[in-house]
Amino acid sequence: MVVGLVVCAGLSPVAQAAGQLTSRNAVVSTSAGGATGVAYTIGFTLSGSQSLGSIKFEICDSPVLTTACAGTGDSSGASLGAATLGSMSLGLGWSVGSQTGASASGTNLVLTHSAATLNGAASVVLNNVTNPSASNKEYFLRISTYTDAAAAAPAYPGTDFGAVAMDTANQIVASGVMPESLVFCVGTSGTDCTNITGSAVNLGVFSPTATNTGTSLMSASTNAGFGYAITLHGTTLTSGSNTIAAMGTQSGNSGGCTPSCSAATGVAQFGTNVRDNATPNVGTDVSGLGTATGFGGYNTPDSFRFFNGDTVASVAGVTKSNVFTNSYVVNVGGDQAAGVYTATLTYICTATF
Amino acid sequence: MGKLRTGLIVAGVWVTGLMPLATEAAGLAPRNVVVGSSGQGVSTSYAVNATTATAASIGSVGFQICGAPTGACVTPAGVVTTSATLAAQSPGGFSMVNGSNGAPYITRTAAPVGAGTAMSFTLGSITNPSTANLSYFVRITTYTGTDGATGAVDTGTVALSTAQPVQLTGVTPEILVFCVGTSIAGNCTTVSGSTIDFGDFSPTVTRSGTSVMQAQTNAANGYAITVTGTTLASGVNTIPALATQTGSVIGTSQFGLNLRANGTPALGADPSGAGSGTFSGAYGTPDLYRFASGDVVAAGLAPTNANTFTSSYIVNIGGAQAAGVYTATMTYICTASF
Repeated sequence: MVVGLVVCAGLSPVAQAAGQLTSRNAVVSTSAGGATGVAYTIGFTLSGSQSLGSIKFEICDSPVLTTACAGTGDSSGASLGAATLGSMSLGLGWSVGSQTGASASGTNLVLTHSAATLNGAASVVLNNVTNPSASNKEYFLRISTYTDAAAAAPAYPGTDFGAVAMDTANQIVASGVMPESLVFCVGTSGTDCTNITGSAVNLGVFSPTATNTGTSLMSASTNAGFGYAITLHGTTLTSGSNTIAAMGTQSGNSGGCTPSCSAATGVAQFGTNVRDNATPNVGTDVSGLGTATGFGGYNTPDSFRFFNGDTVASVAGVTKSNVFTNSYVVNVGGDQAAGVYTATLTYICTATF
Repeated sequence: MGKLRTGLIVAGVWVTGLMPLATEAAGLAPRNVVVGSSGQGVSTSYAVNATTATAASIGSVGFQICGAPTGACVTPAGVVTTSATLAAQSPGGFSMVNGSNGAPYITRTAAPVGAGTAMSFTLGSITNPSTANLSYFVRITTYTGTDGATGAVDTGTVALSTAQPVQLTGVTPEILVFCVGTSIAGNCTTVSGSTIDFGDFSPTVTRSGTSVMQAQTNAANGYAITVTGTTLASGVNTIPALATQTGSVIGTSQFGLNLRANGTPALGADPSGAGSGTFSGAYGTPDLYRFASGDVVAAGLAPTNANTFTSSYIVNIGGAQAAGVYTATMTYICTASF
């Protein structure tokens, strides 16, 4: 979006004997053609000490005071007719004395107050100005000062005079589309979904006197308004008809720990979680800029479970990327049948838009 | 955002030459697609859940599986929908039309559906994209027409992703864990000690001591623990071993052991642990002791978790027992039969 800040670039010619207002500028809140409700912050400095009763502001096609202030050219459509006084830094008691709206002879507004001798810089804020209708058009703000309250004495261009060149400008509209997004990946190594790869986790040779561990990774982000849930699907470690018992209470998303959620050697156990564990020392906590967390029984350090279909991680709203480390623990009793045990785990990330 | 994106989807449909939409469709929300499996190339179910925004007479619902959320719909490689089924539906009355791969739709005689209606359709036998960890999209549109193209009412896109399945592998080898010592705190990693000091023998007091052993195996035929060694000896002098199960008798030279919790003398402990191993009969009666080299003292008849056994030794001597330092080395052998 473009906010136009238009400052006069040059001094306007002053054909009559009036003093010249210096340090003139006008900052607009928007330069859009035809914009209404625009704030004009107008700055100028009096040529010297003078009796000041009124100030006239005109929006014209030309800065030249000898040229009629027409509103039929590039300034067409501009209006001070509904403008209000926001503030005036020089002197006291200022108010809008008269004003005319958009017309073929331009538009103007007179600020008035009880005449007083004033000198120096002034800053005036006029609110609710309407810009010229067309974009990318140069127009001019004329400023003149008077000793009386009606902007009549001395005759135009008054005591001091100056103009400010301004421009409307096309508004640049930048647009793009953020579509529904779900970025999810699973693997065994990497840092994010651009490089997470791998699919095999070797849990080693099981022993009744030691806990075996392994890890995999998953990363997710989404702009779904209702966030996402990652569920775990598969069976426990199996070798033919022999299995290693899953940990935790065997019902969906249960928080129970029957017979156990803690790793213990000598007992057949298979479980997982997404935390940084000490017993055994495996895994890391979730990382990344997102707000997702582990879920339920999978989100407590040193506590593990496995149940097909469980939710292991989730977030309730839009989230940046998080990387989860899935830690797996395996224990066997001495009576665990010999064999190669495998399990294929599939993680499903469901986003709700 | 939903409505803005929806508008773009409508534009995209028009560009691809499908039926132009007379008015911009509203957004289906909330909406999601719950897949039965995220594995690449897997044939699975897609449970499509979407809530309508607009009350209308709905004759069909289209499901485009696309590689991008907007623009022309390019079906991701590997996706197969030509065998798709309609496994469940709410509202009902629909049947599957799966002739166009990547763009199945369900159709029925148009019937009213109110705004805010939570629809749910389970599409079966859809093959996921063949690439792992791939984001893809299902574009859902309700139509007044029955052809899956005419009179779009509500639309919404859901982002999905395949995910690389994780293959966990480990090996349980043939196991025999056996250990012997004089103390054990848990499993065999905690066992320690190898000496038992009976102190000074006396014809008026029974001397005793204990050792421990633990065994577990996944051998199909279990294990047997034998004890080998000689009775207590000092040079040529020995303390006779109890050849049969005998109680402790003060003043009579005897050396024996068992694997039980005894009362006379108070000594030992019964086996403990989750396993099914147990003492043998000859060493399994409290207060009765025996020692014969080569005897089986404990066994498990099948795969068994760990059991801890306490071997209790008793020594008595007669007053004539020759003075000396008596020693015996007991060796336990655990043999597993796989």
